[in-house]
Amino acid sequence: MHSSSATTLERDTATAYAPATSTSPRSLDQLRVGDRGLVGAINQIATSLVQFDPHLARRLMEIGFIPGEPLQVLHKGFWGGEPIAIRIGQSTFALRRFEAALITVVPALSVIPTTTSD
Amino acid sequence: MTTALTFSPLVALVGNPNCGKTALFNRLTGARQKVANFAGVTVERKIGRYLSSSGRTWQILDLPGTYSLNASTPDEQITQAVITGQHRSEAMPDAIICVVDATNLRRGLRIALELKQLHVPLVLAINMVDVARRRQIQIDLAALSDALGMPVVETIAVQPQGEAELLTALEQLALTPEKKPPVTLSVLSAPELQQQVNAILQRCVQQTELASHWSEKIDRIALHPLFGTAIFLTLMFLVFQAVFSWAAWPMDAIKSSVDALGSLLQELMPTGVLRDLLVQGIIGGSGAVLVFLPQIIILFFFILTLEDSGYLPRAAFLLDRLMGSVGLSGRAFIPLLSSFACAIPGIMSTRTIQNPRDRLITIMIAPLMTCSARLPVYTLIIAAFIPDKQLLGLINLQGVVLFLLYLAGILSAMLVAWVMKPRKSSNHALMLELPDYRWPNLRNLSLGLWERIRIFVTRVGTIILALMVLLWFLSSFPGAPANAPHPAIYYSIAGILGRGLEVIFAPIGFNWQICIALVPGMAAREVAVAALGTVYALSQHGDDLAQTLQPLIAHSWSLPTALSLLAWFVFAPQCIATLSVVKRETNSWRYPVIMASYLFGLAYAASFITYHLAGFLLQ
Repeated sequence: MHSSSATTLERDTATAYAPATSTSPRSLDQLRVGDRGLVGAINQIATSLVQFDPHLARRLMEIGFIPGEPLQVLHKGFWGGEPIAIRIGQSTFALRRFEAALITVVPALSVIPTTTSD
Repeated sequence: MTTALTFSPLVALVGNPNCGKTALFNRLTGARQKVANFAGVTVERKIGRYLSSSGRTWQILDLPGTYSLNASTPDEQITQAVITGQHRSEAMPDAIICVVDATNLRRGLRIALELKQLHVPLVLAINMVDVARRRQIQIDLAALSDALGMPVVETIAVQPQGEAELLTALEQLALTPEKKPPVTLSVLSAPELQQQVNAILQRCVQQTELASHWSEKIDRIALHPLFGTAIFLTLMFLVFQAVFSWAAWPMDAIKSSVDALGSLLQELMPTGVLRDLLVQGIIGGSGAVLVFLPQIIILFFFILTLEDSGYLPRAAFLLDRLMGSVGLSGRAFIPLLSSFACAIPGIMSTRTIQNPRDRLITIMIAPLMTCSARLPVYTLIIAAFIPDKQLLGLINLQGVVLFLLYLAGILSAMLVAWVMKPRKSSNHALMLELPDYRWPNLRNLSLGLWERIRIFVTRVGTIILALMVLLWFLSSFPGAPANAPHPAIYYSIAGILGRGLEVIFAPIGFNWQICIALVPGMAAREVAVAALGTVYALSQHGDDLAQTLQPLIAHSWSLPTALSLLAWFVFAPQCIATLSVVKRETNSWRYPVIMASYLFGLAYAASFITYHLAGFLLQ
């Protein structure tokens, strides 16, 4: 009853359902052009690169980067790979790398699990 | 609702940026709008009137676009303060029209939910429905109205009668003349709001997500490193050419008509102070104001078209790294480029820069872009003093010097921008929205252009005119005594001023003729050459004047003096028209004063170094 492809499908859905920690979540600036995903979380990082700005995370959410919203990287600037143009929900925004670095991205669930038993 | 017709309700338009709010505002108010600034800030305030069929006058206030009622930027703070009744000089609105983009309800509806906590009569206007229909987005208005608890109408701001439903809904609002007390907003978390919005959308809106919109397809070229940059450079070249050369013909036409009018009056009127005041002071002064209009109109035509079409953010995207390295916003490019023609339209066009700090820095460095008014001075001095030789047999030495002068302007602008960069923000967030492309709307364009012209003539023009008349007065009184050895201007107040200034300017090598010429030269830099002509008692005009002046100054000035004057003009702080525009755009006298001072300091330092270095090297 289980062909090899159905088994593969099962395995894939199992992986897709695995909690995010099993595959380390990437930040938005690490994605390449064309990559899709869902917003995971907005982090507040105070590192040497980023001036701690408590409003930045909130503002990112206000323009649409809300956990669970679908996004896709559309374009990257020529020099230094920034700004990054991202389709978020129904809008398109350009962010600098340090802003994009605050946004973690989880893979979109692209496979709909089918029941394998009857 | 039968509240007295004398009550004129104040309705505020609130919504995200790029939702077509301004187009809707134009649709409601037409030319019956007034543009000014909100008190104490450089944020634009647009208020207009709408007369309804019932005879009631509605006041419509267009508030700055905001993504959320939690304000971060200065213009968002204004919106928040006004609608909560906490603004110190603006009244709380009696009703609010929340404008959302039909193609972006996912984000737009959040603000509608936030506005509900104000308990102010609300209408939701779903704008750009024509685009939504093309994308086969179906909105159940009744269900949406039910879910949100407010009347919902569709509007198409770019079509005539596109606002009809909105007007009907406005009339049906329950309004009271009594002002409500100020409200403090409670912060609603964005994820919570989005959840509510998503639930509402699921019930009321049907749409299929397209694989990629045509805006995205265009962006594949427009934001492409090679093709995108090529398109951008072509567009910029076109704008620059237009402002520089296409404006030349109307500018000459204006100049000659003003001159003709002046000559006519000169003939018709009896000799005397009144005639001179009219001809040289008022007509000459008005001419000096009107001559800027062709460049302003042409530049703003391009800017408003690019802005309306949605292209400007793409240009900012392409330039972000380059401009960012000197602390400038990508949107500063067009204003700075236009400043090569004339700083006045350039500074006026900085309103496309949203961040006030970036905008201020751009305004402050715009005069360092070598404007076309300096060219007559440059050409005169270079022709008189720089030998017409070929460097390495290829490059013309005079051309090189001219290029170096332009380069000096650009480099000093970058240096000043870098110095003015705020210390704290090493890199502030970009968060630049790239809205969908759309066809620019001719009506909005015309209204926008008309607004710019009106603002320039009434606000800036009056200052320039007043100062021109003052300068005329200073240059004409008191008159020369009989058998005077020097030209009349020597004895005028301007002349006394100039000779007094010689004390200050002697260390940089300026003689009294130059010092006197600098005073009327404050009116406009190109006047400096004419002023020199007056000081040397020459009666020619225009090119003839330049021809005659050339050997004259070549003989009487030293090379270090000439070079020092060139260096001075790179920074030349005194252009009254520019300072007037800065005053208007920054809404205070502080910044024109700062600008004049720092430019003066730089000019003096540059001239000083040039004069003494040249003197030393040429010994």
